[in-house]
Amino acid sequence: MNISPLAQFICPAILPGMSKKAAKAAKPVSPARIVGVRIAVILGASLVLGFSLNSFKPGPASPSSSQPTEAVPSGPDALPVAENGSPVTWDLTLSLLQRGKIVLVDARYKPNYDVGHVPGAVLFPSGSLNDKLDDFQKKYPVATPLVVYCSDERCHSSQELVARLLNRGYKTVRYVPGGYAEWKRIAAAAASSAK
Amino acid sequence: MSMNPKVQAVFRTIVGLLFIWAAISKLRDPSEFLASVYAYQLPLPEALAKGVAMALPFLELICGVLLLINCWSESAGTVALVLLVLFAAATGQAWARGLEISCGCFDLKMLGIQQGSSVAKFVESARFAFFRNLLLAALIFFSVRYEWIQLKKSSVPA
Repeated sequence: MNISPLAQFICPAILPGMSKKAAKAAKPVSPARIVGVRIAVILGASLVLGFSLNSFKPGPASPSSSQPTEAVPSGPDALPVAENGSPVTWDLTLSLLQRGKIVLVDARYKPNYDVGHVPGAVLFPSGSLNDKLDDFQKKYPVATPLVVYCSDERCHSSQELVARLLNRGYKTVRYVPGGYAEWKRIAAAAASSAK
Repeated sequence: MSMNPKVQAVFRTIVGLLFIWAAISKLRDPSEFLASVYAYQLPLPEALAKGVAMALPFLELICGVLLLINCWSESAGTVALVLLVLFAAATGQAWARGLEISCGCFDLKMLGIQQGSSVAKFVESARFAFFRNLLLAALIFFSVRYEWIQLKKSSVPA
């Protein structure tokens, strides 16, 4: 086997170490071909590693063990109407959700929801058409207290959806500014403290 | 115009280290990275978006390591150049459309920068990511160009 093409393929640094005779006998390989084969190897290795080792894990478990830090209002209308449209913390939201006092709404796109969402949250992307909003309203009447979240503190879709829902006549709608990213952090902290 | 090998090595090392950091950040939470891909709102089929999210971190890792150890660096650099141009296009369109998204590039907590802080918001913004990708693409372009010249020289028989 002629070692030169192999040496050229593996690493050019090997070439200076070749004897003059071997170098003369070397059949030159086009640089484009060498690079092409190497790129194919890099891409192939990435695909093999990616599809064999990488996987999408579901989101962490519900942070049921986290202690609420905000006083939870009592009464049937647990979310104060006076603070309609204003931010609310995850602690209060999760506490109310566990007691069935609110409906938690995920305002992100479906693919994001499918990757991971807060357990118990219903999907309703902020950009949904009005007929979807009609369906949502049939399922959750305007008296239903709603809390909306989106990706993180930079997204606006939760606030946009809050505005749409209030326009529709919903009585109690609030949003969690930290969104799903903050919930994940709370859930991870709760999971690590439970260990 | 020929490039100083030391300058080329610095460019290659910078891009290599950043690629390794980006890969580790993505591998730590693949689901979060997939969510970042979706956040760009690109017209990608779901299977392709998932494929990208699965393979891209390893592609970045392999390219980063090869650039760092200077083996196959012309090939790894070429792949890195293509990736950076694609990243610049993705972040550029996000910036142009006014999407307020995290670029999903690096895990800033690895540097002790708190998520949600003003520094993190700036570094993760699509606008900053766009210019950063263009700068890195320029660095790796000059490095790859140098590597190609060296490879052509070494492949000419004595």
